[in-house]
Amino acid sequence: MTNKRYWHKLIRLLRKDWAVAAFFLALSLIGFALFYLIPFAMGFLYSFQDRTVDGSFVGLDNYMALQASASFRKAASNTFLFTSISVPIIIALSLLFAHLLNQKLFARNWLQTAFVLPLVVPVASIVMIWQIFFDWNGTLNALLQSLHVERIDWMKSDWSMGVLIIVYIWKNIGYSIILFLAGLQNIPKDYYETADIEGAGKLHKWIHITLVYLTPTMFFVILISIINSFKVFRETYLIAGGYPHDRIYMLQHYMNNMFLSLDVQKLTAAAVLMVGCILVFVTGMLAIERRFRNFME
Amino acid sequence: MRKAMSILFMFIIVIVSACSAPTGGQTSSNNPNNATALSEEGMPLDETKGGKKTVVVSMLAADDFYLQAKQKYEAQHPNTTIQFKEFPAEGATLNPAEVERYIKQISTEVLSGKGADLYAVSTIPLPIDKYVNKKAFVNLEELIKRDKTFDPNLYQMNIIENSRMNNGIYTLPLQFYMEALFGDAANIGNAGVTIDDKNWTWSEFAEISKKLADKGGHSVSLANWAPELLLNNLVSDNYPKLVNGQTASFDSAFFTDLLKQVKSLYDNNIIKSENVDSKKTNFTYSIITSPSDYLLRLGLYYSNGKIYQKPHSADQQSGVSFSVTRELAMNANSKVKGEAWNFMKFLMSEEIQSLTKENGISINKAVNDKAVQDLVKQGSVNNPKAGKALEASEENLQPFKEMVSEARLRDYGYNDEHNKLSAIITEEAKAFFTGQKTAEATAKLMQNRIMSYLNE
Repeated sequence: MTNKRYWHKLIRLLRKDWAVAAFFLALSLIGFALFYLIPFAMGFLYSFQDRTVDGSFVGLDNYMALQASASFRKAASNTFLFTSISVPIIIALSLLFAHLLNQKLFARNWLQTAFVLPLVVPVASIVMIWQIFFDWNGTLNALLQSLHVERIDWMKSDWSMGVLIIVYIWKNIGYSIILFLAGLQNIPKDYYETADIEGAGKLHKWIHITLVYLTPTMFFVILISIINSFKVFRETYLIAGGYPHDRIYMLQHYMNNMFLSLDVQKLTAAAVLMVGCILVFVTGMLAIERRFRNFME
Repeated sequence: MRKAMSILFMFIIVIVSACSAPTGGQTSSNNPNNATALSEEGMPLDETKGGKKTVVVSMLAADDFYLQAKQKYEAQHPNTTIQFKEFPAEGATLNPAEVERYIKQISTEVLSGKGADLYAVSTIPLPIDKYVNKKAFVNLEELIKRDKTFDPNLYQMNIIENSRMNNGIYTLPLQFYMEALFGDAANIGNAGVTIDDKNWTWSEFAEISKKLADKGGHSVSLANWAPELLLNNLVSDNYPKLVNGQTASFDSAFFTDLLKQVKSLYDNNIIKSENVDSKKTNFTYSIITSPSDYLLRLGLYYSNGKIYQKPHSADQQSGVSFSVTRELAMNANSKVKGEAWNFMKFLMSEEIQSLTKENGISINKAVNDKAVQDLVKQGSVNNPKAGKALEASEENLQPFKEMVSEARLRDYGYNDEHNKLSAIITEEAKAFFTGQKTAEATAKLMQNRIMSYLNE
């Protein structure tokens, strides 16, 4: 009897949406908490302690030490510079390509595939090509020399940032193009037809219809691009190692080196600072987007 | 709902991007706040358990030297136990992965402040400068100054004094190898060249080499020494001048001159990277592991050899470097610092130092003197390779004794591949030595990357 009653209770519970949702969410939430949330919370605590075993609270000491480190300041400004240059470029380029691919074009499907391909190619194999290409004694310099132009130390001068931006764009542009393409195809054709009837010019249509209706997609692409710009470290590390030229010494280089030298205090403090900055930025972006949506409605 | 979604979305973005960098970890640094209790004589007071003390010594593997020292020490101090904490290794030699694991494990221990009381450093280089920066080790200089029973005259203080880091003595060398030049004295004498090796510089070395080549000496002065290695050797010799805490001066005129000088030595074929038989070169750079080893090498390299200091760079005071083969450091958080210090001194004593001679020249002067006397008494050393017995006399061994007291350049192991500085220098120097970049550009690149490392 009791068994049956429990069974009924369970069935009734399962009929409620929230219970089912909670059950399915719980699984991934546990994994998420175990591998991301809890370690990060612990890291947050460590950043205020003087050591991980029996540490005592030292307030902002670790943050002061971090601030005092010239390499950290360099890394932070490099990361900021890289993001602020590469993100606008990738947005502009992917928007342009999305427009091109949105038209009836020869071999359109092939081109789309070609753009997405870098996303699925393993980084390690590609890095070697980049390395051979941009090395001091590499392909590009050989080419320059045969043209009687003085060769450039691509990875060990201010040019290195440019190289990284190219690598980043090459790697991530496909994804942005697809997102923009979806956004473009979602804009109702009637708007353009109406505009045509009213005699609007091409530029006018683009600014007042395309750009406006693409804005939500744009926000998303910008966010994803920024996140991906932080991940360029993987390519940099593989091309130039843990201590590259200081123009491409990024925050993750700093954190990676701190991790290798077991300096958990500075590492966690740097991570918390970085998360804080991203949090502030993302909150700002989302606030603007919300306002924009209200304006649209 | 939309708001909730956007919050969740934002949260995921933050976490995902944050976690692309490694967070968390198991270890930490140390705090120097544990003030050591001092007794009236200024020596540290120890924590005891029912009158018993235990000193834990962490090491790769306890060899005969440490095992015998433990036995003797415990016999003399019945209330103290010496405990060895060895690194578990599978075979007799460590593979690179095990070396990595060993360094990680020791770093974790040292930086957590929970490790052993003493750390014995031997064949595997540990990032001691990082530990010292974290104030994980005791500055032994204070103990040496305060301890009235410590008589500096008994020891090779030049070795201890020149093992300084960050204005303190954090490691106590027990045994060391010496590095100097052996020269073909007969040939040099025949050519009528005199060498004042206490003051000679690299440019004088180059001039003398040219003279030697012209006057019937060998055309090559040194061989089997790659330019990057020589450069790193010179960086090690001049380390205090090039690196000072968090500032490096690799872009200085001093260093660019050094670079150019090294290159010109190779361009003029005075030094060669390729291997040449030592009998066909004017000099041979070599380590010396003991008085008898000195005699053996003297006979091995040249039929009539002599030992010289390495040429100096700028106003460098000495040209004799040493590398420490056995040394000890004390944990800043040790509860038995007094007893640990006692054990350290015991390891420096004549009784223990004379136990082993394979691991290098002793820090204890009396032991070295006795080794020299024993050799003289013995009269000769048999050299299987030279096929003849070498005479061992007071006169023969005098240069060795002088060199030992002249050794002032500590080779911190800047030649090994684990070291970031030497790796950067080696990598950047290649384009300079092949003539593709100027000395200034090369020095600037080195400075650029080394500064990133030093300022982390």
